[in-house]
Amino acid sequence: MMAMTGMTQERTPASASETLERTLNQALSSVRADAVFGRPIERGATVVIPCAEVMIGMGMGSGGGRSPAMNGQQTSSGEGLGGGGGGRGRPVAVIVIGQDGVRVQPVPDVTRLALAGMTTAGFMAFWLVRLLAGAGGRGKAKARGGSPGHLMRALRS
Amino acid sequence: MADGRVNERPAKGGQGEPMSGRWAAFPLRSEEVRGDPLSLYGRQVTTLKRVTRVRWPGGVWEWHRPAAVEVREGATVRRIPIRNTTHAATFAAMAVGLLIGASVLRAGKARGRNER
Repeated sequence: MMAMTGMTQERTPASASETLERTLNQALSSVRADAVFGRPIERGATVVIPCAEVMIGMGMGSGGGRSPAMNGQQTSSGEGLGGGGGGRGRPVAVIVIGQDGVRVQPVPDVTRLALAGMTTAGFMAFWLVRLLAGAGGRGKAKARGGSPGHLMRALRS
Repeated sequence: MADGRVNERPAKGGQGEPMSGRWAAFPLRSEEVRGDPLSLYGRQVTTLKRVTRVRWPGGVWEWHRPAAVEVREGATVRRIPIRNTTHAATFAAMAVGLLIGASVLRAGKARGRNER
């Protein structure tokens, strides 16, 4: 889930920043209200409540400037403000309420887990290859009567 | 059936008590928010979420996550934590990778010293 809001304007009255802040706050509060625990769903004798984690953020800023007077012309000034926000949600678990009790069923993110596994495997493979290559290089160098560092220095000279 | 999401309020007492007083203005806040209780099959089920909020002039960042579900059956209250398995597994994989990387690096250095 991703939502972006933003606006820019020139020559803003003092209330413009308040309006912007209010708009962004309203957008974020609509995300906050229903985000974490969803509406309970009834399926026969079981009630399921979906749970999700939500991250939201917003930021705004404003600024102004005045141009220098040139060729006898009057100075001009301008102001502007802008803001934006975004959010991200992901299901975490479901609460299952039945006649036999209440239990929490986790909802794993398979894509993220696969990515984490692949990254870890790649990282481990890199270090293993480096270790094996280093050992092999040192063995060959030793057989020829020198270390890889000596060989590199000899090649450079 | 009551809707568990409306009128959410900060948890009272215990670990989940929200920061108040002079801490309320602090830019970093973390509090536990309790949903309305649901009454089902003779049990009262209450959802609890943890809200972490960072504020700065002109902006805010919030992280809302489910914390636990509280089940009240008669006089007994049971708190079932809601764990994020994806986060746990990701951190575990990262920790294992770092541990193996560090071990390999250490083994390589030790071997280099021995050969010298």
